[in-house]
Amino acid sequence: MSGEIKKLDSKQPDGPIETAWDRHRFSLKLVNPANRRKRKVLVVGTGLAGGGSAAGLAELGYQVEAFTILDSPRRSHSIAAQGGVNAAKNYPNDNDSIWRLFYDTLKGGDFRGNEKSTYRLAQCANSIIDQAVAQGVPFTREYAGTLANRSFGGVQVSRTFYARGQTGQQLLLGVYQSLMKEVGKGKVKLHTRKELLELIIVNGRARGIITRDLVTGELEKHYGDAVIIATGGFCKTYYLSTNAMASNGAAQTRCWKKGAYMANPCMTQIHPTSLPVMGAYMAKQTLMSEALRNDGRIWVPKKKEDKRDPNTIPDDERDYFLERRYPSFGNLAPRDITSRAIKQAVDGGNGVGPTGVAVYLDFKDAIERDGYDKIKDKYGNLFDMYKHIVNESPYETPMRIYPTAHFTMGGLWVDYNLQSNIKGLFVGGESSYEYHGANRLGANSLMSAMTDGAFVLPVTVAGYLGETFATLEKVDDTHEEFDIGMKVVQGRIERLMNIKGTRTPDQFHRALGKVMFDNVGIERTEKKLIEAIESIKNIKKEFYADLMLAGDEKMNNELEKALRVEDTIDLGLLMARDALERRESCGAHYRMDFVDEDGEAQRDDENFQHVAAWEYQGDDTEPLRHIEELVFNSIQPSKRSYK
Amino acid sequence: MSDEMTLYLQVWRQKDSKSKGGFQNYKVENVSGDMSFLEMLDMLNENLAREGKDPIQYDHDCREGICGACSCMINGEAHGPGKKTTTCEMHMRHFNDGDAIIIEPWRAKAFPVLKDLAVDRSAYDKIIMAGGFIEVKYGNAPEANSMMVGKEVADFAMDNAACIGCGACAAACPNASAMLFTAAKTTQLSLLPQGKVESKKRVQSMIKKMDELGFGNCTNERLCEAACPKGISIISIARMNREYMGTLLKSDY
Amino acid sequence: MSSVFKKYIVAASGLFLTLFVLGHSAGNSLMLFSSEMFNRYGHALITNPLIYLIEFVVVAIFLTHVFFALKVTFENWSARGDVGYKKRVNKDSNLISFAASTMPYTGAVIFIFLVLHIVQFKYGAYYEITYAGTIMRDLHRLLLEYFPAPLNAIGYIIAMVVLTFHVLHGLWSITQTFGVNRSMYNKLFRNIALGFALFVLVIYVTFPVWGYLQGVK
Repeated sequence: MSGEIKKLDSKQPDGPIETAWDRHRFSLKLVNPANRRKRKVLVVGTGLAGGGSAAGLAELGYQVEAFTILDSPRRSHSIAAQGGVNAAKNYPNDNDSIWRLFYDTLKGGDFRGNEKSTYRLAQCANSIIDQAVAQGVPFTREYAGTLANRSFGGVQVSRTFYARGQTGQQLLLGVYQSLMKEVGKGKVKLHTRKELLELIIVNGRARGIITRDLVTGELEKHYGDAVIIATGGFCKTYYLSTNAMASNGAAQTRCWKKGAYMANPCMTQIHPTSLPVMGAYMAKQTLMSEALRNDGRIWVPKKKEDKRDPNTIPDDERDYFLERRYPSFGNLAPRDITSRAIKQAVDGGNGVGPTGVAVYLDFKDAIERDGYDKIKDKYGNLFDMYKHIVNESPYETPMRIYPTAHFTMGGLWVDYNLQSNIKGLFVGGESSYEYHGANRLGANSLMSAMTDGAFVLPVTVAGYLGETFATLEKVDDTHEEFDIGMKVVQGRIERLMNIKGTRTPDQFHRALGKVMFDNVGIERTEKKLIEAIESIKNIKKEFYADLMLAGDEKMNNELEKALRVEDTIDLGLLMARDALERRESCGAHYRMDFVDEDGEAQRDDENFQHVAAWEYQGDDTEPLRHIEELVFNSIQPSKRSYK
Repeated sequence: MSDEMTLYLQVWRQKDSKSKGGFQNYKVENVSGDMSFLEMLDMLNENLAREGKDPIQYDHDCREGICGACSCMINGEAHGPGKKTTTCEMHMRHFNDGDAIIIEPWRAKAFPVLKDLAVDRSAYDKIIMAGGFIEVKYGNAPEANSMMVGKEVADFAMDNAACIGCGACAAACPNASAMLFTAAKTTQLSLLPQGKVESKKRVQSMIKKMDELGFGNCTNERLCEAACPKGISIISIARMNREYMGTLLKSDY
Repeated sequence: MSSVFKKYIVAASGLFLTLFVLGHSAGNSLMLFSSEMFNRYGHALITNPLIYLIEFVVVAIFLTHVFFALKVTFENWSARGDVGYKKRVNKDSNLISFAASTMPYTGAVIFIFLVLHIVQFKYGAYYEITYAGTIMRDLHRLLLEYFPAPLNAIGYIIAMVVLTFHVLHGLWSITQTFGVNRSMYNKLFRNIALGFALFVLVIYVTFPVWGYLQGVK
């Protein structure tokens, strides 16, 4: 590995942005249909991006093997997205367009996303809706039978398609069904309960993976001609998040350690409206939909540590801080800004609830204005869910909410083909950094994962296979790299099993999560980030000295957790480093030492209009920070202001 | 924090699919009513792990009731005592201090136990594989609004599409029948115009697969409906029965 | 044969048997009016040359019902696997769910009752009586000997309660299995099943009660 800082080329096509994708697709090589079955693609992850690309490639005639660590592809975390999926169909005729969706996405990401990739995303979004409807996704409809739209996440047009509050579930099941159709035909070989533990590279190209069977504990070699990583985000670095337990980032970290660059890992979205932490035992936080902010008012008592019943606090003793600070957007300010304001209110000592780490989201005024029935109609299921978990009725007592980690905009670095710097390694969905820059807009995550899986990866991976068809050397699992990989994995497992210390993987994970949330969370400073790096290094040291692992090498949750936490710690460290080096505030990355005179984020386009792509240099060496310059030809970056 | 409870658990422990299992007793202290059932098990597991004992294996992932990974028969009820909830969403305030709780894995020939409370539910994937899809390829699908679907039909399709594939229906069914799961999918897909075309083949092959996998016969006892965390109705089973009969009696052309 | 098809057979034969139960009750109620009407009705039945064919069809349908019900039941028992639940409760238990869960057992009781019933009546004591020159069997007399014995009357009533439960679930179940059930009719069908089952119960319990009271007089 070279020690030089590189300027990366993400191969964005030249020329007009509107035709960039078409021209690029035309430049890709094709594979003769009869030859396609001679090429095999390994797909790790079976959510919208992974499952979609696996099904798509199989339909084209390639051999596909798909891997998931869960017991079925239908459990993949794409399922949990609630709000909807964006597309610029402009059905409501409210002056939406592909260009507007593209611009909103780029601006929402504070101009840290790639212009041409983002445009392609906005272009493909329309096809997602067509595709999903054809797959049988029961989107919510109007009485006339046409598809319904709603406005979501503070956007001024209604471009969000939804299936009640379960849009992610429905899109995923559509993809899952397509995948199972191909599995049934024998075109896709499905591996469930198998976890990627090592990426195999032969002569600079990704050629296989080593997996661990989570039931038998056996290590297995799998070879192919290209590898797709679509394992989702890594919010579990914060321990508590709205993400599923499997969203751990271990697969990306494995690839990173084999030389794939990690891009903008510090960009993490902290969602403002999640339920507050209720106790140390808590394993996961539940998201309360952003839609609640359409009618709910966020406030804290003006008096510090005010323990009165919220209903007895008169209006003039309440601080509706969002309405006060952002008069034009009020309670509908974007996610990053709202999260920050909530944290500042709590840090100022005005937090509420038993722990003092929450603010009120109050529907009293909305109920007085619109009536109980109308509010029940709009939010009944969310209120029920809240009552279920917290045992208080939001109709009577204001909800208590607090921000929590929700989405990672960062991820493995990819070019316009979604190919990593390692040839033959492709990355899709939340696992890559591609579209959302420094902040993701509501209902854009399904859009990006679906686009990658259905419309980009099947094209670009096929292009790679076409380009290399004549020259790619034949490799199978007898290649020595596989044996080396097996030894490395075996060594890792033995090492962890033999520490025989006193602390469980969860204890380390919680310690990491606390450092991450406090120091690499909503508000970051140079001092806190340096502290975080030190603390995480300590956690890492203690992990190797004091880990205790119960159970054996077969089906063993503790071993799975330990292997993941080991990677999560390294990923956390990298996130802190990236946050430290990005000396500006942009989107969700808010550095308190880089703010304007009003305390709002101060972007530094001169020095940081780029993607940071980190290269692993060994466990004890600082990683290298490469740069991909972001060029904006079609639009002019502006300041995000929501005052 | 609310009152803390002490609970007496009887948990099914089984080393692997081939071993014979049995119940083991555990005492769990300091359980808060705000904990979810899985968080209570997490706590027990952490205690077991610290003592160097093998923690209890169970499936879980999203912990918000949508992925369908969690399971467990809790005191004889699939997903525990709450209605329309999954185990991960069920909170310990449903229990009282000193309660005894029996925790068993799903029991069905088609869902073999892998370890402790984790079972293999790939049989459900196989039913979907047999026809639970619309045979459409990725690519240029027809314009979404070119096909009208009435709101009521779309809504009923959505009611059925809400299935999370957790397996509670077969687990709760006295006959370990997978009819509710299968019917939910056939109903969703054949109600929609885009799925109608294949409905004959779909319903026949899904029922055939369901039988082959060793699920029992439906005897209309409605326990599936009561156990379903998503409230899917047995009306869908009636609908599938009707549709299946139609495929035997009617010709397509 | 698919599981659903087997259920069609059980349901169709069950529907036929339910109608038989209804028809039989109509014939039986003649006993309440006059012994002559009742005996003449019996005579007309057994002297009809078609009776053998009808008997054959009824028995065949009955055996088909039993055979497929047994087959389905055994398959269902084995579908649970080698280890059953230590504890299992119904989240939504009521009268119909009780009837549903006991179908194989109520079925068995009805089977035993039917065997006894045929032995005791069809092949029971043969008395003769003459009406207007025609000699025929005096079944009415047999009834009046049978029901006044408290054990017989009580046994008959218990069997009829069991039959009621069987019919209660069976009839509602048919609406499911044949797919005529819809959300809007769900409640209606349940009430129809309940009403029909109660009707059958009332009619059939009338016979032993009436017979017993005749004896006491």
